[in-house]
Amino acid sequence: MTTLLTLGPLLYHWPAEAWRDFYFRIADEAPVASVCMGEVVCPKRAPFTFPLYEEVIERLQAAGKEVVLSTPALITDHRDLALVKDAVELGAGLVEANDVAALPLLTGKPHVIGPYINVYNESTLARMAADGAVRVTLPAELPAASIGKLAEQDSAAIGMPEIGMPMIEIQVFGRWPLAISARCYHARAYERSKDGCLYACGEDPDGLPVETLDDEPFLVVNGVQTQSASYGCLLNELDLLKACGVRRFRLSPQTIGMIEVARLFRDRLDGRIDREEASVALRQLAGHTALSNGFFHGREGAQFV
Amino acid sequence: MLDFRSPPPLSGALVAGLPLRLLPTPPLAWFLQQTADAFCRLHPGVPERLTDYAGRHLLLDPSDLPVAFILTLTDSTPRIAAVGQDRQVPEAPDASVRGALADLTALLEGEVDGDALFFSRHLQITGDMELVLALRNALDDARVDLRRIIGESFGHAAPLARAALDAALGGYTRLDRGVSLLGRAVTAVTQERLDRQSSEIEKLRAEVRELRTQRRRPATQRQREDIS
Amino acid sequence: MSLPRLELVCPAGTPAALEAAVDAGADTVYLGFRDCTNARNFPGLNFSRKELEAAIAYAHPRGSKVYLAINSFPQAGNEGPWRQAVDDAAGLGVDAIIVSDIGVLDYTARRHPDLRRHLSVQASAAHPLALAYYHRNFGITRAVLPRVLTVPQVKEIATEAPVETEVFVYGGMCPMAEGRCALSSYATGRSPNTAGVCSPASHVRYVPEGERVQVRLGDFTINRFESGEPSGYPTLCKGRFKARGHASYLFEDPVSLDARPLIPELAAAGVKALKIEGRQRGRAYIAQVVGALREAVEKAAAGRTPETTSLAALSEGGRGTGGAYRKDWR
Repeated sequence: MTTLLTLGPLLYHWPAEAWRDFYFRIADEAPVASVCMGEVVCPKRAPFTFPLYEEVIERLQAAGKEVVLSTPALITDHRDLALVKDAVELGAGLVEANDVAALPLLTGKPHVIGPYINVYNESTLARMAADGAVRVTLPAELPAASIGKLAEQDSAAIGMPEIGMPMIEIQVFGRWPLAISARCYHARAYERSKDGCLYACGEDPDGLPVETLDDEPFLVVNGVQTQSASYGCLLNELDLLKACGVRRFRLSPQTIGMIEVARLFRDRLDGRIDREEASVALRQLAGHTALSNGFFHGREGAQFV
Repeated sequence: MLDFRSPPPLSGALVAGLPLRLLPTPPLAWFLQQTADAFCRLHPGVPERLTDYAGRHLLLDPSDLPVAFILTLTDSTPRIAAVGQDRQVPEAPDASVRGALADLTALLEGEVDGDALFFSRHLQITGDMELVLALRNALDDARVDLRRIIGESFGHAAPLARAALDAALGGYTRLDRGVSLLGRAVTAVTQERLDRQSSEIEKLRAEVRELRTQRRRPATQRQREDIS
Repeated sequence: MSLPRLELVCPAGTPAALEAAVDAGADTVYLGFRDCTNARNFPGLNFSRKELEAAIAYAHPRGSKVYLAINSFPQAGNEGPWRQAVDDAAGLGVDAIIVSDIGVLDYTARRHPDLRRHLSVQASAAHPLALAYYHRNFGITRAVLPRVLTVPQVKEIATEAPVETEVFVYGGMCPMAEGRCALSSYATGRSPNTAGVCSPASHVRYVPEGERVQVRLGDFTINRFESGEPSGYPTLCKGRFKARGHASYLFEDPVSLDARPLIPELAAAGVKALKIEGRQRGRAYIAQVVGALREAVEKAAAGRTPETTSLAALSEGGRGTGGAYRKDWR
């Protein structure tokens, strides 16, 4: 069974050159089949990287990577929606919808559903398929049982033989996206208004750490998004995921060596290294950041089982 | 008039591991259980909504009474008992609710909003929040009338008791009536016992003071000797 | 200028609260079944089928409508309870159901096309195009808008959307896009989407620390109160956390929404109904808040501006706010 790695969209606000160089290196070195790019968190960041899209897309495609254009996780106004229109017009690859408001622009065309649209059950998955979704990345909090049920639909068509069921993709590495808001907590933490934020989020390339009153790492803030402080990690669960029919695995970019992370997951999927060795290597790459896999096991998301 | 002093919180005492025990006071125990029985006869829906919590213990701790109550949920009628601050409860309660008796009775009757009392810190809750919430929600639906329950708990003497209550409490607001009635019922039974306790405590305090003075004395004497 | 009189949609967690709401002047009462099919699946709360039947029998003759919230997300392999809830809602004759899941909407549209479908705030549809999608595919006739929109945004949606709009006017505030928040399940393993509860009481502990109280959610400290300091709901987004070296209410202060003065603006913006949050609150609260809001709605309909009076004592942190409607945070 062929398995494929996807690099999720870079969710933080990096300087444009750093953003471009990151994708160049991914194109040149990372063993990933698909690469998502596009602004998911805040439309105010988009103008910085948009002029670089052409050369990045070219480089990725030349390296044989499929390009996926990700769109905003929360669409409240024309600026958010404009990013969806831009992605559709660019025509460089599949567009990934992350808010239902994007669906009317994509219905009838092959597209991808990102982890911010609530696909919790078979009926919703079937509806997405009917609209033209070819791939669905499931929400972070879904446990193994749900993933299994939905991945099963992949092969067993449910009353709609004419429509192929979307492939299920699961995030297996990177901070869990936990919440999205119309408010910018990054600006709030820097005591600025959302409109006068001066790109506070640019100060924290791996997110702004949020600790409990007892100084325990808990969350990170990334603009209007709130993520887990821990890096989600389903390295030890890859065999289980494969067994329940999942063939696509998503790595969400962090500031640590993502090329190495991608190689590690590729090697593990191909059985080139064993579980123990892979765990130790990832632990080293993650540095001081905790790992978590509780969602998959139906436990507190912050747990590492 | 009774003097309602504010004793230290039992919930705090429990967390700190201070010993508490059921008060072996037959009239009070009888009165409380009668009230609980009457309550369940009048409001069968309440124990019904709480069957998931059978076996759990809740400490109700009126901040202005010298006693608190342990409510034990069962499949049917809950058991209720009074506790004092002297010895141990048989089992540590799963949760505790502390607040002024007036607030607790108003809450029981659904006259005030529990969340509002909590937000303003008039209620202090520790332990299993789910238990507290379940009880609050079940009670809120029941439209409890404390006066009617207490009347009911007197059995055949209810009409007489009610008439006596009306005569005794004429002019009070409904809320005041409940509070005053419960307060008197509780304190009258325990007052004697408490008087005895406080005189014992006073005696103990005197002994401690005496012991401390004795311990300090040699040191003071030594100091004097050093100086001289 | 006279404005349309907005429909007042009020919460009820128990039959007693429903009667209190109807008696206090609710045009509509919304409620949920006593199970995981709704987003306020709290212990001891909500309605059995029999209680819903009685609720309708109480409300309808008094001119009030009853909406049933079926607004959590069915788990894969277990859609049965949600479908059953929809079937029962249709059978018992509720005036509308409030739904967030695409699968449940799809089922209802096909199986009970005549049952009115409102889009729950849990679907977090914050743009006219999202509403257009739900309208075209599932025939929704109304959407409850997220609590994070400003009045101009509300107006834009109300003007452009092909459906009626309902907005929150009073009660708890949720700063995140609702129905898309896994903060609670990150700390406790249970979320509004999976279990119908946010920051479930079973995982909340108040731990006394001398004069102070520590609030724990699962394994995390989410707040600490000094004695006498007003508190709020023990939800994660209303906790105090440290960022950039200092502790603050990073996401949301413990305050409640009180948008009564904005009712005329909301009516002028084309909003159809006003919603009060709080199915978990007691009947004393319901009676008081519904009464005050009834008065505010009548005032606005008569062309006057309602004030915020009398309800602060019921609020989280002891105060109310215009919330996101007033764009302060922008």
